[in-house]
Amino acid sequence: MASAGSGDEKAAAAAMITLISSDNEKFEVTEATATLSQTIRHMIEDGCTDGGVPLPNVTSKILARVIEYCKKHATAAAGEEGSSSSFSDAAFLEVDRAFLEELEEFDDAFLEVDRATLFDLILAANYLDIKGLLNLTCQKVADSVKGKTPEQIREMYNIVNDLTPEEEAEIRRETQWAFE
Amino acid sequence: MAPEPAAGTGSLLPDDILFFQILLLLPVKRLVRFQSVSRSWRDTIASTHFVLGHLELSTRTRSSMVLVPRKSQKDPTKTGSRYLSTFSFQPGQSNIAELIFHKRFYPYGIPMFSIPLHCDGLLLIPCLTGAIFICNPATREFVELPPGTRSVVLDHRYAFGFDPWSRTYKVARHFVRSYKDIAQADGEGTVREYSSGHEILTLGTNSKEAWGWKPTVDPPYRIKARTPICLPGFFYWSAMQSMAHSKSISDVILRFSLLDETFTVHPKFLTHHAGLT
Repeated sequence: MASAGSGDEKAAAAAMITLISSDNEKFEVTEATATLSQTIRHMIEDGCTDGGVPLPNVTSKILARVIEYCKKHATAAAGEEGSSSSFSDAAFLEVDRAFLEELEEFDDAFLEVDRATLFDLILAANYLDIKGLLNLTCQKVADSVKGKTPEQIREMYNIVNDLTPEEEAEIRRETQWAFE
Repeated sequence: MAPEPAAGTGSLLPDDILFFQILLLLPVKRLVRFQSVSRSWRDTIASTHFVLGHLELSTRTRSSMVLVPRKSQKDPTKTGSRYLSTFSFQPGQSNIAELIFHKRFYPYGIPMFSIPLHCDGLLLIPCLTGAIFICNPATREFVELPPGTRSVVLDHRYAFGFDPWSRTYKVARHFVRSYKDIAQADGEGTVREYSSGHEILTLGTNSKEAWGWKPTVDPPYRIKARTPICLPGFFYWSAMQSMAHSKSISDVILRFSLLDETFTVHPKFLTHHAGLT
């Protein structure tokens, strides 16, 4: 894909940033990839990325996944920009659609993780302020709790039911319709 | 910021993410169901902060209309209806309105009501008998408001809207305290003069017992029996500007501000046919 190629070239010319995980592993990424994180974007703007960016809240295992996501989405964003100038409208729409489909497939595959990893990804996306990743992972959790009963929710999230039997009975009575 | 324990297994999410990033995405029915998970779930889901967040997200992501069919009302003394149905309609997404709430009223039905008012998914149902109900079809809550000051004529109307300054929902009503017929100086008949009042009620305080009508300044002119236009912070009543002891009247708009609770008078420049009703 020509447009994806041009995105890579653009990125290659850009500065590299070093990210350091909580367990001291170093990851070299392009600025285009790193700035999907608003937190890192602000650090770059403030000029405090020399010598690497320590991320004490993110393990190497999770950081590797986050970078995988950012690389893919940074390429897609650059690709879309490139394509808009070099293709006719119809061709642009075609490329655009192909991109979106590819991106969707990537996202679906990306979310095939266990719950602990999913939660860690949410915490990392929240800390690094990566909107797309946060929305994606939170939607996945929302979909997974949608069909659950309150009992199942308590079990999933280790929640102690501190409602008295009377309070619970009252809520149940008032909200009976929602259980039908 | 303290480092998290390494590679979490079963690490749980902080409350602000759980509630405000995840649960906010769920439809109302699921949230109603999840109120029985625990105290903090019940309190958070019912909190103003959460409710307004959910409202903001849903108005941004999907547009829908609330439809309330009602019978025609030729005879206001008759019982209006044995039930109230509300439908949701999403233009552009579906051609079919979906029933969201069907409420039956035992044993006598709900009195005849005039045009329901709508704000952010809440319905205000003004009955011709003076009874007023607030309904949230999505949560199936239905409450009766306390009656306002008695009106000697049956053409009172209600306004209902959001006050962005206090972040509360408010209901306003006008009523006629009394009227008298004044003989014309020229001896040609009489002119009826009305003493009108106006009062407001604030929703959203937690205890229903605290809900009460609070008088405001009187409207400068007599408000007409027309459903007002309600915009955030302002209610626009249609009124009749009459000169003292004179038969000449003209239509004006009275704008009631929820910020300082005063009326301002504006000329009505729309034609009668395109009029505000």
